[in-house]
Amino acid sequence: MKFNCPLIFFLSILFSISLSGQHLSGEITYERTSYWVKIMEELPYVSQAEKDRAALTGVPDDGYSSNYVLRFTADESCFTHDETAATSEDDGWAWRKDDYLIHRDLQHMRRTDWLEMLDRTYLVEDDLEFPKWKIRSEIKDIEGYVCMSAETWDTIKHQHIIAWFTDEIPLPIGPEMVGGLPGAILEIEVNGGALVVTAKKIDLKPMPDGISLPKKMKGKKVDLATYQKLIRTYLHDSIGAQRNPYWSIRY
Amino acid sequence: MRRLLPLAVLLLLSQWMYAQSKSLDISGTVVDTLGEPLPLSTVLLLDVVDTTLISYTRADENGHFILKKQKRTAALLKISYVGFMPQIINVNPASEGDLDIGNVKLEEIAKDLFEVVVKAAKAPMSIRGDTIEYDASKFKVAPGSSVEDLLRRLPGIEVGQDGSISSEGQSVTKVTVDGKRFFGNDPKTATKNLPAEGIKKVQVFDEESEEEKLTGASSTPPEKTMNLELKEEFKKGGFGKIIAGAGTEERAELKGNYNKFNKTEQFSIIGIGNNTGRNGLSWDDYQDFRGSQSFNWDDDGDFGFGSGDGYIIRYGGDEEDEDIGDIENSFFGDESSGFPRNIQGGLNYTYTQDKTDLNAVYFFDRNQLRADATRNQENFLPDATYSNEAISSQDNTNMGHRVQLRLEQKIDSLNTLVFNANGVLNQRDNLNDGTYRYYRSNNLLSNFTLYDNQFKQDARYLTGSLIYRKKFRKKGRSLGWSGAYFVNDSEQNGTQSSINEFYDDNGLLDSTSVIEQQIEAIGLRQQIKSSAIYVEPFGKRLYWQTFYNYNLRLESVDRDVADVIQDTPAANDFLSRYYDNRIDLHRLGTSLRYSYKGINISAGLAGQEYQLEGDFRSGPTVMIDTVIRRTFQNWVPNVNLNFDLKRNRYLSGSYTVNANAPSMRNLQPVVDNSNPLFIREGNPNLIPQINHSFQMMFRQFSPATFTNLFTTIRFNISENAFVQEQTVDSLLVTNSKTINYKGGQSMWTSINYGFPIIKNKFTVNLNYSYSWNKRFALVNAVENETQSNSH
Repeated sequence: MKFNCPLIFFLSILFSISLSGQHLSGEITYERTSYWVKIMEELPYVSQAEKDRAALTGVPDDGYSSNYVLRFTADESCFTHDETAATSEDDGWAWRKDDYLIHRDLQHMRRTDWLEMLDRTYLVEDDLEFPKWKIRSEIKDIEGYVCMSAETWDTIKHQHIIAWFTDEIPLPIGPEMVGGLPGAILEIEVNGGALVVTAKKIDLKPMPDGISLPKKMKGKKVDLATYQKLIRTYLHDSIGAQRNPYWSIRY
Repeated sequence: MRRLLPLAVLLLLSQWMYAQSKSLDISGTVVDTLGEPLPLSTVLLLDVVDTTLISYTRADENGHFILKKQKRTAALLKISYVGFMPQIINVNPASEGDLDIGNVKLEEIAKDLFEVVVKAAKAPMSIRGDTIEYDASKFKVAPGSSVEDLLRRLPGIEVGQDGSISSEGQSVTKVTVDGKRFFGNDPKTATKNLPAEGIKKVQVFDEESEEEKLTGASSTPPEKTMNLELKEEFKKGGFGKIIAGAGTEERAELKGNYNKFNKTEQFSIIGIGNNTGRNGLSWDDYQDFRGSQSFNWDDDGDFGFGSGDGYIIRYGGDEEDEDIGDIENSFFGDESSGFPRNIQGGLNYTYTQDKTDLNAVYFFDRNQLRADATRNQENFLPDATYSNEAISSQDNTNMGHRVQLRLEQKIDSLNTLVFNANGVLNQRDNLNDGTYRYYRSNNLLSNFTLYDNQFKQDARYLTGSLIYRKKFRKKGRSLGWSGAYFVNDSEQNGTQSSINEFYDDNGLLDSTSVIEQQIEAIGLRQQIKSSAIYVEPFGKRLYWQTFYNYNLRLESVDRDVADVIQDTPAANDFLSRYYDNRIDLHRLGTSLRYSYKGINISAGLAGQEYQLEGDFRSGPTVMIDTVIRRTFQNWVPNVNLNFDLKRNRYLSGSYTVNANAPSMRNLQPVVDNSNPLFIREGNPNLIPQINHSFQMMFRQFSPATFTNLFTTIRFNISENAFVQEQTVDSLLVTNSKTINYKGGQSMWTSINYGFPIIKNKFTVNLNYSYSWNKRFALVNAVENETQSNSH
């Protein structure tokens, strides 16, 4: 029975695409904001005094933001840094952007994650499977799209993810590595707001040439299980060493 | 393989048959209340227990949907369409056949409610059955508002003049707080008295009347109940700690702090008293005390090249030149030896609201140090050696009150103002007495001094500064301006008394001099500075910045020294000084920076001009003023390289130049014989000392293996260095004068490598550093080159 599930998903996706027809392609620009105080607060070794101190010192709404873009067609999606944004921050200092590109082939149900972590760049290639989502009852508007809400739990990074998806873009796509809902995910909120990724601009337009991927996507090829094991081991080691692991991997 | 193949086919087949017999198609049609189809509605099939998404589809143009090959178990069907109330239907399939649930009627959400709440306010609104839930934090109300004010802002809810509440036209008869009744049944009690800030969610739902509960029908119109869900407060109380310690020889320590804070206000108090000589305050204490104000970067407003700039104006070691420093210094002071008594304490208050950030601090400290010391020293001259012994006793007290105020106001998203004010009252009281004994190479006594000095100072400092920063719509373009004023006035008085005995080659008393002096000084120092910077981007990678700094320093000192001869003071024209100094600095610089993907390179050049103007008299009876006017110009280049490489590697390098102007004191042709064995003389011909500094740094950290590498190399060369020219006469009296001489060089390098042998348990850190430096001094007209190496 198990293998039926993605198949039905896939069929229903195709079905819905054929129905809605026009412009199921375009670009969504997201703002990704992480809050260090909140990320730190959930680390198990941090004492109450240290949490209080961090909350006290950190300005309450002091998050770090950067822009990302999700390009998509009915067949594929690609989430990466928004290169059209100015390369330098306000202070005029340009940090190097890490290698990060998440590609989803919806036709062949394949995932390709090109990402830099723990000292090197990896290329994770595997079958695409979506997490189990629980549908919640809230609705809200994001950039003119009415979104429904769903939640899931990432057991590798111990993250509770709340997603807001819109059935007006009926594709199982989303920012970061999330997806698999009946509509494009326009916002995710991880672990009570430690990380928030929100759509800032939604531009539905034809993408006649599909999505072009960079030619140079070099990295150590691994499958999903190996990648998850790397993360799991690293989290275990870092927390053992009482060091914040999220300096070296993406939250 | 051959055996396996039929098995696999069989398995697949059975699976297919199993699925066939067990699965079913669920179909239906989505319509509105008038029976019109709702095309492209979303249909979700959810797990009946935990609403996990099992499958989904969309209705076609006619509102018809079909979910194929679903498991034959109970499930939930959630059907939604934009602007309509989503509907949840329980699905209980029969044991055979497909399931057609027929028409599903969706009800339109009250249009104004939907438009206002979801579309306009962009607030999440949640609908659970008949309950509508508002997220209170998304509706802004003024601080101090009551719940009633909050309710007025919620769409779909009306508050009458008398405070009565209605929701979608139906009156709200009951208000509960966290599900509990709040002071009786009058809904207004809760809404008028509770603060809006404490509310997390507002829920409105139909309450079945008692009659309805019994009969299932009601004769009275429907009534609404409102529930207010309270926030778990960010932090309700305060926290603090007290540490006390005691030891032998009456050493004791007491430290306490208390903090109270919420989202907009932080209050903290700290106090420490000890006589252990330990500073006792740590970085953590500093952070606890200062809270969100711990790190206020860029508050000096001295715009320039950026990091490693070198725009720190050094005027050289004037003894009165004191920096009032920052509050941090009270927390990171050095440990002292002797018998100290320290008392420190302070209050910190911070108020943070959207655009305003206000901080006020008061800090008090009093340090007393009593110490006795004996020092022995050997001196080497080209033709002789001599030694000395100093026995000293001191009792120094330093007491200060400090008030600090900082206001940061964001005018809008592009404009920010920062105002800083700082006031310090300081009192110093020093008592020093002791003896010096100088011995010739044959260990015969050459000089003997017995001294007793007392010194008192009262000083007041005040600084005010204003920084304005402006960003432009064009990304990367920015403007900054700062202005600051600093004033310090002080009064000093003291007495210096000493008996000096000089012995001849045979160790017999040759002469005796007795010095008894009274010193009174008043000083007024002022500084005005202003800086401006403008950054213009060229494309997305190139930035051109231009800056200008102006600094004016005014010093006015009256220092009266009187020799007391048989209880009668007489002015000492040698040591008395009356001067007015004016130092002007202008600096204009420009630099070009390339910033792209982790590469940051900048190169720039600044031209600066110092104008020194001094006017002094050396005593009350001297009628002629001596005037010094000097102007120095020099160029200051600056190069900075930074590479943020892959795999956590960083490489940076810099070349900076800075110029130290000679101090006015060193420029004045005055003889200072306050220590009769060490006479200092000024030099009006001094020019600035130029320092060139090169630095390279490489850093690597590997998070996977927990290894790190850190290497640095630094090289400094100075030109026209300030060097002491000393002559020692036959009575071993040293005359000293500062001159410009060829500069010294120094080099420093360090390499640090750390790696774990057992992860998280045993880490090895290897560190090697090497330094070398070469300095010159002139003693009795002989060049003295000092080279030192250290590993």
